[in-house]
Amino acid sequence: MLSRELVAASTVPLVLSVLAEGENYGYALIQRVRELSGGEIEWTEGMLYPVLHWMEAQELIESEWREADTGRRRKYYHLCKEGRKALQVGKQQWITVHETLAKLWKNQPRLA
Amino acid sequence: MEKPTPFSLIDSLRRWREHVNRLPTFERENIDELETHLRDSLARLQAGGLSEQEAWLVALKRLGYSDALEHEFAKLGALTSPEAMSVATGTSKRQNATTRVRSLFRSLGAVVGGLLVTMGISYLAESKLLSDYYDRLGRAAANPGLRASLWPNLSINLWTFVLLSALAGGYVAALLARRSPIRHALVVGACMNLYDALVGMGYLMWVTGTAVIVATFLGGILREWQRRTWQPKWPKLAPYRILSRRTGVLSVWLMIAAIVVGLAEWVYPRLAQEWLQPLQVWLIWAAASGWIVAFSLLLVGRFKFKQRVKRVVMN
Repeated sequence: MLSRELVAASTVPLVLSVLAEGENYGYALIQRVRELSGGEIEWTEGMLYPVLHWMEAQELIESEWREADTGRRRKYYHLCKEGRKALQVGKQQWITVHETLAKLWKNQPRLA
Repeated sequence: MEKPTPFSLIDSLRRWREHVNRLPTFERENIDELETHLRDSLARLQAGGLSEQEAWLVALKRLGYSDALEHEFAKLGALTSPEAMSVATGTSKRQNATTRVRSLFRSLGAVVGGLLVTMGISYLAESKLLSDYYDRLGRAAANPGLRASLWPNLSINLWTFVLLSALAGGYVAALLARRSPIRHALVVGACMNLYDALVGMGYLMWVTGTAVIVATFLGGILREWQRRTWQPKWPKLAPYRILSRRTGVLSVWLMIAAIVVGLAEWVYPRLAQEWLQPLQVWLIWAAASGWIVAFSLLLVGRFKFKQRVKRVVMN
């Protein structure tokens, strides 16, 4: 399980990345991240919504209430232009961190 | 001994909603979204074999208890602070500041551009077209025969112009207001004062400026209200709904303009002669310039047209 700090830092890039796959709603976003991380990334589900609302206020994403196939109303989120830009920048920085750590750990013995 | 009440999911949801509704931080839209989440979670847990009561307890725990949720909604957490956001999205404080400055300049450009166009057209209207218009009105008023034949047409034309200008004025105000009605209103006020200090303004310009400030502010509030309450039922009809929504916004402005003009004419007949006719003429030209600004913004936008319209109408 990831530390709270790391989960917090990765929330926005994760949301942007999932929405880059296509529009989605809160519950499905959480399920998608849980599925991709093999259950390692666990958000307190209700806490995602303030993040989504803040991202919307920053014009990274937009939302729209629509009726789903089930007949229930859902709020769908999709990426904006600013969100795509933020994703590109964030992606590059996360890749840099990942590559740096990978190089450092390449010749080190695996931790027990 | 009293028999325990059997668990009811519907009652539990209702009680949860009532409780959350009493907390000051949550708006109706937040509660609707959280309830949808709870229902999705419940459906999934029950499909996995849990009973209603078990599913309710798990779903509620996963969502987060109301006090903790309220805390997060209230402060949005360190997670979403600008500093944390900068780290998370990879943008620096400097980039954020640049974005804010760019956004401010864009707003300034839109408002100043709109005002300049309005002022230019108002100037033309005052110098030539307005005098022609008054000549016709004067002749109609002086000559009973001419008044009888001309007045209905003039009156119809006036009201048509008022309707069109109210539509366009409302639209351009809503377009400009977007998410910062107060900021835009302040910018317009500052522009008016600057213009007045530099070249002086006639009453017509003050009427124009004041109307733009009020329209901008009300337009922002109206759009925010619509964004919160509009919940479409037939997604396939979205383009038609966008059109109808726009018409709805504009019809409100139409009503306001019509009521104000009608009341003013009724209360102050003298004012009607001296002020309302120039105001109506202003509306015509402000509307024309409003449409020019609105459509040029739509056309020069780098978004696709439909996306741009949707963005303008929805935000």
